[in-house]
Amino acid sequence: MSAQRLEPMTGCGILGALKCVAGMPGVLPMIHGPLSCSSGHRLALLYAGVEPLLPTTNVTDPDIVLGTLDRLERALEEAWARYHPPLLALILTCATSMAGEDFSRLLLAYERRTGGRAILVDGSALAGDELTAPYEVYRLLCEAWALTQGTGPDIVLEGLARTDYGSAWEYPALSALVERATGRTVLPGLFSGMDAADPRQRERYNRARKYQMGLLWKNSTQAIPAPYGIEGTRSFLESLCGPGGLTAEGAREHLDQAAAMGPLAARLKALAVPVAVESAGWQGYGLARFLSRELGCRVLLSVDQEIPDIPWENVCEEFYEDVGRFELVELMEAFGTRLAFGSSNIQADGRWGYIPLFQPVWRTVEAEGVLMGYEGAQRVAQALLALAEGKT
Amino acid sequence: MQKYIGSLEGFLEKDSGRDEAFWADYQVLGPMFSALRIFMTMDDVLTVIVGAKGCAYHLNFTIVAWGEIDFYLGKRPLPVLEFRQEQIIGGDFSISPSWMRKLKRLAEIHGGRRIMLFPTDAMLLCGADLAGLAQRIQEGTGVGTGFINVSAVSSANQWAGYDAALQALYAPYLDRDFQRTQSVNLVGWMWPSRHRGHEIGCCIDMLREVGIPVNTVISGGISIRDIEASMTAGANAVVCSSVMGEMLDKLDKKGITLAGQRAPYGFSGTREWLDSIAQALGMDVTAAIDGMQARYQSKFSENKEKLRGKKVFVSGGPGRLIGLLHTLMDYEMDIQVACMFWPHDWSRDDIRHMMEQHHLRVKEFILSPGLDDLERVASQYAFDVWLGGYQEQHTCKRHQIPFVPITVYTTPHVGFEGAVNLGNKLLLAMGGFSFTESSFSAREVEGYLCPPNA
Repeated sequence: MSAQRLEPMTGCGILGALKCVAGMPGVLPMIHGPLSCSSGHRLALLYAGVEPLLPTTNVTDPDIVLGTLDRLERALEEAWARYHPPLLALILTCATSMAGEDFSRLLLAYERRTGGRAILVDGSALAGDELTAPYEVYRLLCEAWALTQGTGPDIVLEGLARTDYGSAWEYPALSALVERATGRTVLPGLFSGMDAADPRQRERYNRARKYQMGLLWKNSTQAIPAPYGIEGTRSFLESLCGPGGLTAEGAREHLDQAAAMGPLAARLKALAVPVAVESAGWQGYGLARFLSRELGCRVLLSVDQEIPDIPWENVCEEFYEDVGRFELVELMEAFGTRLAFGSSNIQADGRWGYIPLFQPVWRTVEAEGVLMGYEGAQRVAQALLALAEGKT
Repeated sequence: MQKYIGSLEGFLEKDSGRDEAFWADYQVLGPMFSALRIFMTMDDVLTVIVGAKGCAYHLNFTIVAWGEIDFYLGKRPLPVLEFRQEQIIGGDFSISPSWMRKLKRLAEIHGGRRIMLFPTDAMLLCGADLAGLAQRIQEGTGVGTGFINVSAVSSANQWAGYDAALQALYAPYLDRDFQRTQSVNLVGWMWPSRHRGHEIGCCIDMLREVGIPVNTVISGGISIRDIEASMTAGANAVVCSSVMGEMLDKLDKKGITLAGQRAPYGFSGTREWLDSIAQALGMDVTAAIDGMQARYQSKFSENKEKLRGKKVFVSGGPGRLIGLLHTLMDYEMDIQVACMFWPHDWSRDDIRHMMEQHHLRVKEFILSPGLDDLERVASQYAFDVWLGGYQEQHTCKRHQIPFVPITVYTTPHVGFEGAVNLGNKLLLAMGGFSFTESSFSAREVEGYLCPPNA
């Protein structure tokens, strides 16, 4: 039987895979399938702010009938001749996945012939969707580059990606916060700037301790969402260094920020502002918890995927899974939303205030500033107060 | 994908394109996009993706992101009747009652008089019974429901999608008799905006000024009734020739003369376009065209003095490229490289026309360019300025070439004023102005307008 919701928030595995590898140094993603599947997903590279280099084998109906291996073999030769990628990420689509041909054999031959590495990702709906693809991509990349889990002093916030909205300002600020609070050095993650083709970076990465979050959140052993709010941030930081493990500077920063938030939170709790959040789960649960438990907002939350370890009733009043766009806008309207965090799909000028949080965001040019961490908590609270008290 | 790199003469030879398996495409969209673009931007049609949800994610983005605000498209629903691939393979196409109720309600809210289903690849490849699905949705919602037999794998560019959508739209009217009037339809699937500061508004205004009555604008923002109304026009004029399709030929044979086949770009192209429409309708509007041209002549000549002989790169789709070539030829610029993103059936005739009637010469012509081709020509040639698709900005930045985008903009590039606007933009770029704001948004400049009473 068909799914019940009309408009999904998320896309297919091609998008999930590209959200990981877009902008990754030394990686050439290539779509083995029809042009539409590459042209439509060029947007993932735009999310990362990089040139949309996403070659395609532009398969059409006759190729499916006659077989696509010859076409793929020629395309692999051209890809190597033109770009010499240290790693080629070949992504299958619904059409080529259904064809069921032996693509692995061609990739092995490609690796032997060129000395380059290649991974094969099934981006079709048969294999999963946007949410499942990152786990497979991460596994394949670790295998291809012999990446390991370390226990050294440095840490990696793994699963954060260049394609996430706000990555250019959120993640440097988050890394700095983590370093202050834990006294450890934060290294770039696989999807957020590490150059895995560089052996020295690989070696350092392998020694570091990895914490799974963002696109890889379900790999985490702890259901700790993104660091939004004062208490949410402290809880996140303690998940990295253990309870009571904050540095003196980190502990002082928390106390100072909590004191500054107190009066703001008190005023907001009296207003019970209705707020909608549309986001991936890691961010969504974190922001919703901050809004509802620290600021007393009424919250509608729509996330890509439910996390059973965090009962949704604990963080929001209304909850939706993988519901987006026009359908979600209608639900938000019925909820009486005053402020919305999410993608441009739910931006509705004149109906509610809007703060971009989640891709696709196509209408904002100016950066909003960080929303995570203590600094972000103050920004969110100030924005809410201004809206609720009619100052915006 | 048909690829060609060489001379214009070589391109005109039969079978000059060769199939290439590797394409670092950065600009072309597929058939589902074009078919959906037609129906999703109509006011009384509700479009539904059937099969995989991923197609809805990117198609919604591509259609809405660039038209929502700038061209008054707004937000449009794009429901998905999602069947997981194992359901498709197993032939389980049952529809959840809850989904059907929600769709019925959406059709009521949205004012949908027709529902169109768009199958994804897996649905077409496994031979799903789309007619049966359409029938069940029609029964469940009470709204007439049809489907388009095109999916991503159907072709390597937009053509098949536009053609299939136009066939579906016009089919109910082809066998009926209509009384023709001396009026023209503007055909080109652009955004709903008819604002004077946008291209369709500019075309409407030009036709009004020269005295050619506009019957119907066949573009975004229309309803099914508008298609029927357009059948009384004496001619169809093309605003964006990407949508030419076989349907316009078929309508030509039915008595709606196909006129203005190349979009009105440049002074020469605008004159040709207006002349062709007037001729199709048996009108003489030469004096009015002369008058309109005269108002823009001095600014155009001023630009021409500065642009003449400058070395330029140009790219565009099958419609826009021809128009841009008109403009650059009018400015007597030195066209080094011209790229056509994808070809339609009239592309070779259009290039031949430009060569024979306008003495077009270029050093290199590329059909279906990739980012690798752009990198090569940027290294090989010394361009003074680059006029191309928005994602070509990356090549231009690497090579420090002044760049004017021709796919993300709002100020008209059509008509006499459009020729001046493009000239202004080329000069601004060469003077150091950046038209790129971010990966998605361009920086725009005010258009040049010289109304009759100015």
